[in-house]
Amino acid sequence: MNTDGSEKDREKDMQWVRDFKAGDRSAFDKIMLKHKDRVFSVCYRFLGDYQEANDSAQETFVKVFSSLKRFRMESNFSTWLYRIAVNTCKNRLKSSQFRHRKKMVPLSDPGNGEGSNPAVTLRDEGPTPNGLLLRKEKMMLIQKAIDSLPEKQKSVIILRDLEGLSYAEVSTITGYPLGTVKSKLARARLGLKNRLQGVI
Amino acid sequence: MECSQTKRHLSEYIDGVLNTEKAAKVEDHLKMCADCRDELEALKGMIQTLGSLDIMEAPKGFMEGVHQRIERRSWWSRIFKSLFLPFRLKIPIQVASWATAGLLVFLVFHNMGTQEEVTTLMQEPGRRVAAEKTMDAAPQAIKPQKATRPAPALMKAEALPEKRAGKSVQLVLRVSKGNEYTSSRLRKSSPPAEKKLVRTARKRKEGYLDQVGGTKAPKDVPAGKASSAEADLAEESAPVPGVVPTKRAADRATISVAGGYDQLSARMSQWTREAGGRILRTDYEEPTGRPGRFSVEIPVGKVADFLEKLSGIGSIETLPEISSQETGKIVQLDIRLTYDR
Repeated sequence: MNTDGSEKDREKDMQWVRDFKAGDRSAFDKIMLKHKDRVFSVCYRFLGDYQEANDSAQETFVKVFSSLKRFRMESNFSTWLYRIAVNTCKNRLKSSQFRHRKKMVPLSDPGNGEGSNPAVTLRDEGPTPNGLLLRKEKMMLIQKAIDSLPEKQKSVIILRDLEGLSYAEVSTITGYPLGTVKSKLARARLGLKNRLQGVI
Repeated sequence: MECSQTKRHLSEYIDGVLNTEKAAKVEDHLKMCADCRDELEALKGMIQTLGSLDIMEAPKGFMEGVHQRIERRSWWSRIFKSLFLPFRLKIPIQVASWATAGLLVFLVFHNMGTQEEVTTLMQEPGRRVAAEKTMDAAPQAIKPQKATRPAPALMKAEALPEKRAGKSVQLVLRVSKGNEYTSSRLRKSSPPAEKKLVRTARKRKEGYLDQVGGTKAPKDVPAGKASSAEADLAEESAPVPGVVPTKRAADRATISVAGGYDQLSARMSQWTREAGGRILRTDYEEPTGRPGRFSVEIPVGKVADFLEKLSGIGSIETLPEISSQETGKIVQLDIRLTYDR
């Protein structure tokens, strides 16, 4: 879902949106199939909880479904989709239910109880189980460091460094001015570097 | 440029969004400062690491979950739309309908409360006398109406809850010729033209009274004669104002003629009251003005006594069938009066 992606991808999204508006509900499935992993990934980075991320990602697509007919096609579809996902996650972060759940440590959670889930896919650094374990631990520490960031810094660094969006796109999605995006990103990177000293 | 300033711009410098002037100053500083160069390398490494994190796969059944949510949501939205949209039209209608329903519920419960109050009044011994007085006052109060609107005047003693009348029984009371209640006017008046009451086979009163649990079983007496038992009954009954009781062993009735049919009505009212009941309505025949029908409500347990007293007026031609096991209920007796010529 890289918004800097090819013009072909962008045009494909727009065509599906047009088809959906024309009454083709299968077009929505095509959109969802293409973007679901990205949306879920963003939600997971935001919330640090597998189940919450699943709920939020599904909610994002439900919102997309109900408001796609009002999409004016003036902006990039993926930017619009990101914006819905980020706002959904922000609302979820603010909800009391989420705060309550974050205090609970699942029994299945080995170790720190954050960021652990069976579906996390890691880049295979080595064939040995030890390498996989180290990779997973590193991943958990990064997620924990992201979780500890303030909300604005978190959203900016996720969109820019994890999703690879441009400053302008981050500004559009978050609604922050470009200067704010730059300053928030600089602080987020500095904070994350300090938290991950010795890990990276 | 100093280290602190340089470090502040490193993020933008890495992304290449720093303006050329500041970028040149950062580069100059980095050439001289190893500490800042380390900082730059650390930041680049961290950004690279974050960028290298794989995209997570959505869980299995993700799309099905979305579809289920959409279905659930559309179901709710359909209900919402059908209930509330358009707001301008449906909200006022709903408010009005709820207000109407609330008013109806209030009225129903309000009326039920009033009926229960009447029932309670009737059931409480202390208040019963007052209630009976109220009931008996009604026929007296409507007597003037009889003069202005002679007959057939349907007189309603009181608006009563229907549920109190457990059973309605019709019977025919043949008023004996020569009876004190009829002697004053019956002899003068011509026979009623509309006298078409169905007379069913006469039943023996003894049998009926045994059936309803009465203690006394007076014999069937021909018209114009009275048994000693009836005379005793007449003696036991309370005197009616304006009526002077006399003892005549040969006669069945014991009240002298003072008011004719009016006395008959008064007597009926008295016996009904004594039985713990009330008169619901009285019909008068035209043009004679004599009572043609009484509707009374009486507790089942008191029916036998009441009928015994009625037999003092005449013979009961159609005996009601009332089970003595229904004690506690109230029966409505519809008494039609016929008169011997």
